[in-house]
Amino acid sequence: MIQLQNLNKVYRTSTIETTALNDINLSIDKGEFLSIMGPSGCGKSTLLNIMGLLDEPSSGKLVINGQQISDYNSKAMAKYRNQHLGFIFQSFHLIPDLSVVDNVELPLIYRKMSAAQRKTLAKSALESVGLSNRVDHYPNQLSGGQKQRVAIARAIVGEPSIILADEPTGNLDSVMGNEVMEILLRLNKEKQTTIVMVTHDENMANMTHRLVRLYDGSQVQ
Amino acid sequence: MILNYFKLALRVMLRRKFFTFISLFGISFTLMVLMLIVSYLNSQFASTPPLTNVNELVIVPNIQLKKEYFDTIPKYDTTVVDGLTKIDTSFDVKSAGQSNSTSDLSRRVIEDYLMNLSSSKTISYASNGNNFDLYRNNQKVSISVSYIGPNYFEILDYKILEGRLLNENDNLQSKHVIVITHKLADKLFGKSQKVIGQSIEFDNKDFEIVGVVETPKPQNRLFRQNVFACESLFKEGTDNFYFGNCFYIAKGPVDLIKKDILFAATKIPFQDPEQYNELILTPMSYKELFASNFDFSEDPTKAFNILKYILMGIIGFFTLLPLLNLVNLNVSRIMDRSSEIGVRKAFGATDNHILYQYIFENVIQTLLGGVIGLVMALVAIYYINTSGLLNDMELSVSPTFFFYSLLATLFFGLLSGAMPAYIISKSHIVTSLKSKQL
Repeated sequence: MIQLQNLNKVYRTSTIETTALNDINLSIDKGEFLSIMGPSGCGKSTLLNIMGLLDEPSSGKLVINGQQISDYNSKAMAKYRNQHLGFIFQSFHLIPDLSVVDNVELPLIYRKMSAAQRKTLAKSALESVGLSNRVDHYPNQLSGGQKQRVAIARAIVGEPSIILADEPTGNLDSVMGNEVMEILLRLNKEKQTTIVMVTHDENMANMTHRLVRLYDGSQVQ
Repeated sequence: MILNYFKLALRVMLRRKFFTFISLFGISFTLMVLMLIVSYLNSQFASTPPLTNVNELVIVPNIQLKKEYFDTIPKYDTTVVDGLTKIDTSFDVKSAGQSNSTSDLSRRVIEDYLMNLSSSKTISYASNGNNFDLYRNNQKVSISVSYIGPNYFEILDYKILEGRLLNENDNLQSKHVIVITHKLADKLFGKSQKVIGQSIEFDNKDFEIVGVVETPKPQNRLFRQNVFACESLFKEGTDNFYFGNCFYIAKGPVDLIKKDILFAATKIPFQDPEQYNELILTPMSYKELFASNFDFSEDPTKAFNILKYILMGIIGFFTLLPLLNLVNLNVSRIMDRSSEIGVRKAFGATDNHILYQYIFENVIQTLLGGVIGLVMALVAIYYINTSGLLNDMELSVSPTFFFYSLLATLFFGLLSGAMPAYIISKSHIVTSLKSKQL
């Protein structure tokens, strides 16, 4: 489903060149739950950002479902992200000025869909993460775990085939972290959603199908 | 999507109250001033009584007589021809000065040369105001009397509030009847008394008031008069006496009648060619007459253009400063929401989605500022009109005023929002997400 071929990412300034990813070759199957681990600064998030079309590789190929996505222009990439990808961030990234349901609706706003249809889908996504009683609340009225569940609802509302989660439990205590992990595992199992998760937590990583380790930008496992 | 943007715009404004207050204050104050300017221009130039015919109106306000004097200056040069010194003399003719006289048109010039122009639909004339002082209840009231010819009220269609206007019969019979403006009526008789049938005395004669007209809003020399009497009463018998202005309503293009007037001017003989040998009539539109008050140029079209550019410059400058300030505020406000941009883009927003969203939000905020500005402008207009603060100036509010006010608001909103929105729409997703402002 996702193939990374000879992928490199180098950050250049006028004085220094930093290699973030070095010749990454990785293949992820449909329905696979993959976790990426490694020390801070090893390139985990950069790899996830490239898979999520949020960043561009310096060289190499990114192929998703047989299509070489790295050749797309920014508009086509935006459309691809909207229809096929869902994101979960460590710090939730909910928009504080929008209610919970409006936050969840966000990906659907950029699709041609009626407001009523958007609302129905958003409420259904919130129900699936157990937050149907928090629809009209605002993010600042929620706990960390609830915020992350809203973020998961936002990631799944458009039914993407791939979810990219960057340390989704990183800001949560172990109870809430486990709750979030359970939701992700259920999603992977029931809907065959491909999930790529960056984590520091060995226990969480062990719950996934496969673990990839990075060190200094290179794949070591 | 629009509803979503709208809700977000309101939430953002409510969340950042201090910032919203500063922005709205700047926007509403600037827009209030712009609206007052629109209102002033509207009151001066709108096609409403007594200027319903403003676009076809041509005025000849005066006659100019000139004579240029020349000096002949000999120049001497010496040359040597066949060993002999010879003097070569040449002459230079140079201007040594000008005599110049500008005055009202005389009745003779008006009646003999300016009353039969085929390109005009209606022609009339009127004297400039003759000033008199009246005393009522131990108070001095100054009046300015204009002696008007037939058709005058067809060209400048003053709105009648009471009684009637002057007619052909009044003029033919040199009746001592007058029409006065309502502000003068209020000054002379108060608001409660009946005005029609009352008399006032000036120029050693008694005049009966037969009509009251609305005081015109435009403030220029054309509308300084507050009493209108029949032209046949004007210094009876003095045909050559300096009289006043000529008014025309053009049948077709205004330029055609201007050309006719200029041609008519060539037919006017000089009474004393030794004293003056050049005669100039300057037909002008109402806007050009307005601009001629500022003495920018002798050419009325040029004077109007200069006035227009100065006015545009003032408006531009006045708008530019708060606009730049608002752009600056908007940039910092939008940068504050950088992370939101990252999230939106991650979930499928294109650069254009972000651009339109922030412009839309800014327009909403500016429209709100526009409404506050409008209320402030309406209060200011009411105060100016009722207090007589600015030399009896009366500002007007009309559909044109609202239209241009809305236009100014939208323009301000788009302009102040476009640049910050463009900058933020181009921001990189990962950089935006890393800002962690959410």
